[in-house]
Amino acid sequence: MTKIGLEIHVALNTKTKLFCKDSTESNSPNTSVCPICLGYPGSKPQLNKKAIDLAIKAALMLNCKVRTKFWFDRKIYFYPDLAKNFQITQHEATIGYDGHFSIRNKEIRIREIHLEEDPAKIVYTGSIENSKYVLLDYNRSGVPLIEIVTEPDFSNSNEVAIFLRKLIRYLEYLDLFNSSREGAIRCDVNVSIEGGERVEVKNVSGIENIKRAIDYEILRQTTLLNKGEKIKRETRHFDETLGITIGLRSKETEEDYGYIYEPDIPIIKINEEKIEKLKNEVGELPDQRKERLVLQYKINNELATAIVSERDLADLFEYCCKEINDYQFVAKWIGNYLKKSLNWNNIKFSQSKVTKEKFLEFLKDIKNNKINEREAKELIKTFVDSGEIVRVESSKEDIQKVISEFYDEISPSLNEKGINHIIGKILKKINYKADPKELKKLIEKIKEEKSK
Amino acid sequence: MKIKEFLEKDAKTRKEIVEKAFEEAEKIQEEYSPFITLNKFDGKIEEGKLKGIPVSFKDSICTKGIRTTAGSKILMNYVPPFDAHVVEKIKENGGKILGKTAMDEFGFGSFCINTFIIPKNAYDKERVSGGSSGGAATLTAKMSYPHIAIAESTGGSITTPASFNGVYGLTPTYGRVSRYGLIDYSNSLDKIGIMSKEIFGIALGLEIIAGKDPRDMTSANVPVASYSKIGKPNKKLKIGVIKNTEKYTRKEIFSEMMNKLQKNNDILEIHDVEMNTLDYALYSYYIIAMAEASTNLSKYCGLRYGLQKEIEGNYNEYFSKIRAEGFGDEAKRRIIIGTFVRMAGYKDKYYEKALKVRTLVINEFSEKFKDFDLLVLPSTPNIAPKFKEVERIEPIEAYKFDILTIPPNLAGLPHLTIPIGKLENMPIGMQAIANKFEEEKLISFGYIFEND
Repeated sequence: MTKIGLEIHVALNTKTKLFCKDSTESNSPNTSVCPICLGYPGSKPQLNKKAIDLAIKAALMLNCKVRTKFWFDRKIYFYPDLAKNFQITQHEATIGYDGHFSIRNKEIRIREIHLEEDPAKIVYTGSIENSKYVLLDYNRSGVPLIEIVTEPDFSNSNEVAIFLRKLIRYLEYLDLFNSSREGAIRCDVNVSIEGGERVEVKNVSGIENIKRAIDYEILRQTTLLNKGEKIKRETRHFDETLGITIGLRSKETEEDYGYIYEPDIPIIKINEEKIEKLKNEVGELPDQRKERLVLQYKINNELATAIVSERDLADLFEYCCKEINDYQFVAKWIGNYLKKSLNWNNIKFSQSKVTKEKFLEFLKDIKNNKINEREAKELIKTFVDSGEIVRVESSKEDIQKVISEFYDEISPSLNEKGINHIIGKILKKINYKADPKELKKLIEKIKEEKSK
Repeated sequence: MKIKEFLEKDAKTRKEIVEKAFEEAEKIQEEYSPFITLNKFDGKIEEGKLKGIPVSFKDSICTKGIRTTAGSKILMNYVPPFDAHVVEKIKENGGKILGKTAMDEFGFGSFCINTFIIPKNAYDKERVSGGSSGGAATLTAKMSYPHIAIAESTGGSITTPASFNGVYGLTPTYGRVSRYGLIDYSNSLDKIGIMSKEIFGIALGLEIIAGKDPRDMTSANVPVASYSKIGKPNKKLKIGVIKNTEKYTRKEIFSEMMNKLQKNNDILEIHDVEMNTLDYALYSYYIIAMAEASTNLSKYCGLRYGLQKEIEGNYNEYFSKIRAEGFGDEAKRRIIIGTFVRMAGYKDKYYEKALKVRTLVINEFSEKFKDFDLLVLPSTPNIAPKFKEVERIEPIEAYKFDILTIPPNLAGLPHLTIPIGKLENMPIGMQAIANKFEEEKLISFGYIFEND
């Protein structure tokens, strides 16, 4: 039997770092740094309260119990990426504990969830074994991470992948995590198969690599056992290029980090009222909401999935459905066209300049034929980008000019279908910036003239 | 020249005095070496509460653009990129940075001999200045022009040297003054304080540097009183003399202290008290201080600042080389002991137990302050020893020298050392301890003895 447990590191979606005011986003290496995240003498941590709120929300999302009193600890070890050679983390009183998160019909137990600072990023100049030197990027130093520790409840890499995808989806829905940030989900993977010791594969980045690392480990360990060899307790590293794990150090003796309480950060107390408030903010989770939308609005599963990919999008849907009772229509426009435009611009609805009110007006205009659907599909692209509907009607001269290009095609024998075909072509040429009914009148006028 | 007298002079006269003060500091340096780094006067006299008064800072307090070594070779050429909170405050009030005063490496010592510049006692050059803020005390005693010293105490680093050199020394309540920019010794114990020849200097200094600072999460949000306007007490103070300190103190010192108190029994109601936790405080203190210190010192590894060398071998070998060369014997001793007391298997026995003892000490003090305004005890067990006496002293004996200064430091309570006379031509002192944030009582108490 195979047992897999995860320690998942997720960067929290905060604007600033965990213990200083530096931005969590930056363009070039070592630009978002200060004496605090560089560990300069005399600097002290200043806790980002927002990160605490987000971590509690994550704990609630994972059905964890939330501590009303917790603190930070120092974990001491020497490593070049660690600015102070100790990491401020939570060892004894973690924010959340004793939770669960289900995939399909299986419940994965969550041992604990805690908040900690990310070390700097190590950039290897070759592979991890043969790099002559490494480069350090402290932009990442001090970024808030949550570490989610599961019980060893997974039996294969597939379950792990499903779990992580759902986890990311949920975290994004609650705006706790931003997947567009580089290397945002990292795992330490513990794999043990019956008859062998537990092996830890450290710091694997991205779901695909995590899957590959697990599959490789299972294969490696099974092969060793079949050959009658022993599997020793150790820490390994996953080489992404080769797709194999490599032993780093044997772990016969547990590492001693010599934890002490972090004396620069007073004990944090959270009252029940605050937890209740955060619980309300977490509210309905994506899968529950999707099921409800399907039932309540009779929309299909595919559109509902797209709509709940982002909380603000789902809110927009329900907001518009209050005024427009053609739910299929609203679902199509939000779950399909709007979602596609957002994806095209690589932004979330919350990041676009479109307001709920303006979008509702837009849908109403389509519904009332003030804007035709084809034009609307064009308009939505700039709408997402600028937050405004830029509707430029073509001038009469322009329309006349384009129609004249089709003069020869307009024969007296042209039927309804033929007319519509030409209207389509004209509209395309002028970016749909004309009223098709007007065009039809103009074409029929030419047809009549020709038949005289 | 008295501080008040100086403050009443016009700007031109003040400038002349400050110039002379800087010259005097240079002369004192030649004879007594109180400075690690001497600053130059920029010739500018600003307004504010200090109007140009020269202020010295212990070298563990970061000064932007001025070398800050904390008495350690590992920071020999370190120039901080930012000012400590207290430095900002002094500058805002027109104080001039006179220089950076000598100290035991990172504050590790009671005699100011564990460092590369060893100040001499102001009263006898063959005797120690006291640790760890030795330079500050010698300088304060020797300066005839107005001067305030900003020093720091973890377990007695203000009281001991101030008492050895016959000046006033205030260690405020833990959290009264922001530690932002103070190079950490033991974060839960470090307190920035003041030395002066006058009680008024102490009061004025505290008024300027005290108060909440968001950059130090342990700084307290307690209103700052107008300490400089306080005078002698306007009602009788109830004093508890900690009687069981007598057995640790040289007879003459204890009886002189009792004498001084009795002489003022019109304003003091004097009682004897016993502190049951007195003997345990010492051990609790050294365990906590060393545990925290050993983690604070891990950041010094020759990577980002401080001592650097040609990089050879792996990072572990490089870090070890830098640390072996950069740290002195006492720092190494505290790293080893501090690491030991927090290791798995020993942590419960030492570190955790020491924290419990600290709570007992705090509780006993709170009980006492239900009955007394102030508790009084001698500042040091003896007068300043000679250099040749301390050369041979075993570390454990040196630690025991702190028995009288540790209890208020461990409990984070404000205390003031007051010069009370001479023994063998060397200054002796007594210290008063107040309840937390009751610095005003200490200042009033100090005025009683000022012109005695």
